[in-house]
Amino acid sequence: MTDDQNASNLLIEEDVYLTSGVHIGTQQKSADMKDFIFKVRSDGLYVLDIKKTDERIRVAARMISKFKPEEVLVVSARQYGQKPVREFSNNIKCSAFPGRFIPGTLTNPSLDVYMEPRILIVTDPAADQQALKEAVSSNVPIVGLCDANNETKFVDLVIPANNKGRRSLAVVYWLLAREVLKERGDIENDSDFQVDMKDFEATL
Amino acid sequence: MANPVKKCISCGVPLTEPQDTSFSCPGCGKTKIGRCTHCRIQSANYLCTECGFEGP
Repeated sequence: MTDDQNASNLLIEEDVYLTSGVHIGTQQKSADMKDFIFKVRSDGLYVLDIKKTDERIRVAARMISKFKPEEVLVVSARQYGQKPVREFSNNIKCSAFPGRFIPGTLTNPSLDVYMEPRILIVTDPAADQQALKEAVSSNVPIVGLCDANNETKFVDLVIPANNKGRRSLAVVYWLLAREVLKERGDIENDSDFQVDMKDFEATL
Repeated sequence: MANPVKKCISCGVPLTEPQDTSFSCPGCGKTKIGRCTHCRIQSANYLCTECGFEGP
């Protein structure tokens, strides 16, 4: 860990967060997300608080690590979220559902894709509303990556982050994977996680 | 589950609806957090009595 990281106590250097645009919000904000907004830029863009993002990634990792890998489901209907979600599931050995979420996946036992997760991670509560709706009717707690404009209806743990950016999603899922493995005790420290952050990035 | 959550941590109503949920506190993992449908829809804040974690 560098001196910068020690000083700010972040999971990775602040520069990585900033250059990946994890803090970049939208030009609209929702009332649900006002606690996570740091400031408004002169061009009207709401900026998310990186410290809160960082803290929530730790908390979410702790929460996810309490479940068995097969009990965790991560979904992303967003194009840029599909690769990070696949890599995340490969690393922590959980289930992933990138792309269109087939209705009934969590509610219809006669489907081939039927599964019964104990926790759901959504990349965007608005885009992944089908998964969210089915998880709600299955009593499953929901962790959601929420941008400045997202409503947090039915989300039980918010990770405030830019959920539209290619690099931003890669950084968030990479960190989440590393922290989950650390919490589980699969790796001792940060350097044991040998996966490159670039591997999590969707191709252009 | 040895000691199931019976009440919503935010408003105190019994958890009887199918859309209610309960999970271990994301902050400390010691206490059980129960959330009723209404509080989940309203995105009402919850507070862990053990560690003081405030969600969602």
